[in-house]
Amino acid sequence: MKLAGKVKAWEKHQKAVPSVDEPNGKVWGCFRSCFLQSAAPYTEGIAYKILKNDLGMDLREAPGHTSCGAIGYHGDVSNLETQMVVAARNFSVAHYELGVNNLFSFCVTSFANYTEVIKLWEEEPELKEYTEKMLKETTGREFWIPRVSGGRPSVVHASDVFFANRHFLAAKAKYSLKGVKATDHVGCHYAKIFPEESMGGAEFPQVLVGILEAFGAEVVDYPERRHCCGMGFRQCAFPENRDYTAGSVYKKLQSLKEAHPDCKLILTNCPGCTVFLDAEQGTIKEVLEEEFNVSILDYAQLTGLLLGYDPFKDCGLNAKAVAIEPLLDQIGIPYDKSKTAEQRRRPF
Amino acid sequence: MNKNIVVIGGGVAGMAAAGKLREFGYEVTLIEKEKELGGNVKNWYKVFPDFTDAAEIINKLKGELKGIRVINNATVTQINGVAPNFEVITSTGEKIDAASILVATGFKPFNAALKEEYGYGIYNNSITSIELDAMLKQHQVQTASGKPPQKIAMIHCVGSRDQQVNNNYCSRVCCTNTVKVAIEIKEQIPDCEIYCLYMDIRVFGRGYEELYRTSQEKFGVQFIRGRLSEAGEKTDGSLLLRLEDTLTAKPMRLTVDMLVLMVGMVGNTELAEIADLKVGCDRFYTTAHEQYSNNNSEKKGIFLAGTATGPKAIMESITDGRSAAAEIAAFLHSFTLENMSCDLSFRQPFASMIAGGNQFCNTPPQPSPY
Ligand SMILES: Cc1cc2nc3c(=O)[nH]c(=O)nc-3n(C[C@H](O)[C@H](O)[C@H](O)COP(=O)(O)OP(=O)(O)OC[C@H]3O[C@@H](n4cnc5c(N)ncnc54)[C@H](O)[C@@H]3O)c2cc1C
Ligand code: SF4
Repeated sequence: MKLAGKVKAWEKHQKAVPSVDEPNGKVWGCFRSCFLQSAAPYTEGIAYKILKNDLGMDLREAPGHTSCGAIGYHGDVSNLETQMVVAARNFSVAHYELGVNNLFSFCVTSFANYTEVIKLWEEEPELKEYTEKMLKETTGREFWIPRVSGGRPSVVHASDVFFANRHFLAAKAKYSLKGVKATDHVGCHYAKIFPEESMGGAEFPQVLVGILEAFGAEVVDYPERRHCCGMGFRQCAFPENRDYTAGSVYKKLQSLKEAHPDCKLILTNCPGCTVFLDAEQGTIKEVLEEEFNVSILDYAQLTGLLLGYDPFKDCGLNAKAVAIEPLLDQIGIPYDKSKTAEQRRRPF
Repeated sequence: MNKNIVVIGGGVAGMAAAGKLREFGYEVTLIEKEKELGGNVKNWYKVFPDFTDAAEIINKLKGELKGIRVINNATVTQINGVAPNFEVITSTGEKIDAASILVATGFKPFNAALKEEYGYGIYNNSITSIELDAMLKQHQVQTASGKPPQKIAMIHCVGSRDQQVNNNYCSRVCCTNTVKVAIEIKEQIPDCEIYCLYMDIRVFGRGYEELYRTSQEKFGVQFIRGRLSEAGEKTDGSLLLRLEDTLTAKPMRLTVDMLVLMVGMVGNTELAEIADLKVGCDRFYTTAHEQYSNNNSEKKGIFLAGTATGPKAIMESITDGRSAAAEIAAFLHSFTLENMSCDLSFRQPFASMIAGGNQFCNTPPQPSPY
């Protein structure tokens, strides 16, 4: 692997996300993730704490924000026209009710979905006209398009905001990843639909690697790094298809084990990958009696750990199939060893 | 009207045209950007379909340049006037009068790093067909760790027939080039397994299909109709390929020691503005008519030859260069007829050529080694 080649690829795919020290990098509107809220609520909770307490951001959310609706869209339940009006409504609420110009979403699917409608509005003006008209007729609201990345029509993902501020976060970190091997798994809805909207591109994304490097980790590559986590809206919704997801996770982790048996950390930025890469390790253990014990953390969970937040109370690591304690020991993060694993996971 | 013709680009097309124009009796100035003549062909080892040494072709064409002024390390920065009284200004500041101009500036190989999923420039053992040819020339086909590869995959259509990179055309030569290099590898490393992943096999020229068959029957090269999705690197430097076998519609995996990307051609239209030339949607120069005026540009007195107007094999490029020479001669001839006051003496050899039949065919036919 030639790092210079990777850096060259990264240079081609940069987007301008303002960091907190820039005039427009302090106030952000954000969209929650319905999937994270239901499947792994603390991952979003810790992101809030970090952005507000550690970076001093002014995060604004309106009670009237709705889900982006993308799960219905990808599951063929709702159509494109609906998606566009839902997106336009959420943008309008954020801008006109909350006074924000910059928006990010916690979910990569929302990010891709919002990016898709913005691109459609740009490339097919009649769709924009339709959305504007429908928004006005159905909600009485004004149309507004966010321009987050370098002033062009765009929204960004929460991991982009962490990436943009990674050096500030690393400067505040209590613990370091020095000597810890780690790798990334970037959500397909973050990078693969619009590679040009992915920090570092779709093939060798920089967004999570940049965060890992800022915290001092040794980033490793493995042959199946780009293999899908296997979630997929359709197969994860139907139990009959779940073996596909478990099969994908098995393939990935076997490949990682072969290449770097001592790499026990995968950083993610997609709710689906975060949940399934972990949960299916539980399935594999039950069915095949094979253990990989690779911790799957999302960018906010890892940053929270390194900033000194409580792994169980704050970072939501009590809900993982893979025990986090070995990784905590490896990094040197203390936890109450007088309690049993079960007790530690019930901090409330 | 002056007697000079400026040929821009000293690849096989430009050299063939220049040599022929000289034979017709014109004064010719050949302007080449690089320090050596030969264009892309000077980088090749043995060329399809008959494994002629590329150096032999270049030497042959160079031998026909006697009496021609060759300016190396220079390009053209400005063209003033109209035919037959052009003034060509070079990057070295020289002003050259020209009755006519031939643009034979060729192609650029596709930049394989644009197909990021294939890992070129990132994985040590992901190389291009150009790098492979250089290895074959040195008889040193080896992986980054210096070992002869035991398993190689060659990927057809890299940068061609690919909407993603906006190159919708077929580069025409890379299928046959794959067959050629596969045979050469087998000759140098007989126990190496070779898998060619193709979209369609387009081996169109005389002797090409036979070569394709030979590569399978005699050398055991394997052809899989398949599309590479991505490559990933293993710790030992070998590459795990994820692909689809498009005949069985099944995904498959293949681990290889070396991945060779058969790069296509990309139009080189850097003189479009300077020479006032039109560029097609494929980003090669447009000719006056695709069927019957394929060496004329729309600009009177400026002609085109070789891969500057689209992918061609060497033989086609040479033939195209010579065809352009004939077009130029006819064009200037019409001028001389229009302006009978012009000096016709320099055209004598042209007349003698017509009288002399095939005096230019001096290479006896060579049997193909396969
Ligand atoms: C990987 C590969 C392998 C191939 N192998 C074979 C093979 O085995 N057999 C075969 O028949 N064909 C083969 N080909 C095709 C062959 O290379 C071409 O047919 C041939 O190079 C075309 O010659 P050309 O003169 O048109 O262009 P080029 O070879 O591109 O030459 C153009 C020349 O113009 C010069 N030039 C460019 N711009 C300027 C400028 N502005 N001013 C001055 N000079 C300029 C360049 O420096 C160059 O010297 C292969 C092609 C590829 C990509
Ligand atoms: S010649 Fe073959 S490899 Fe080259 S672009 Fe055409 S089909 Fe693809």
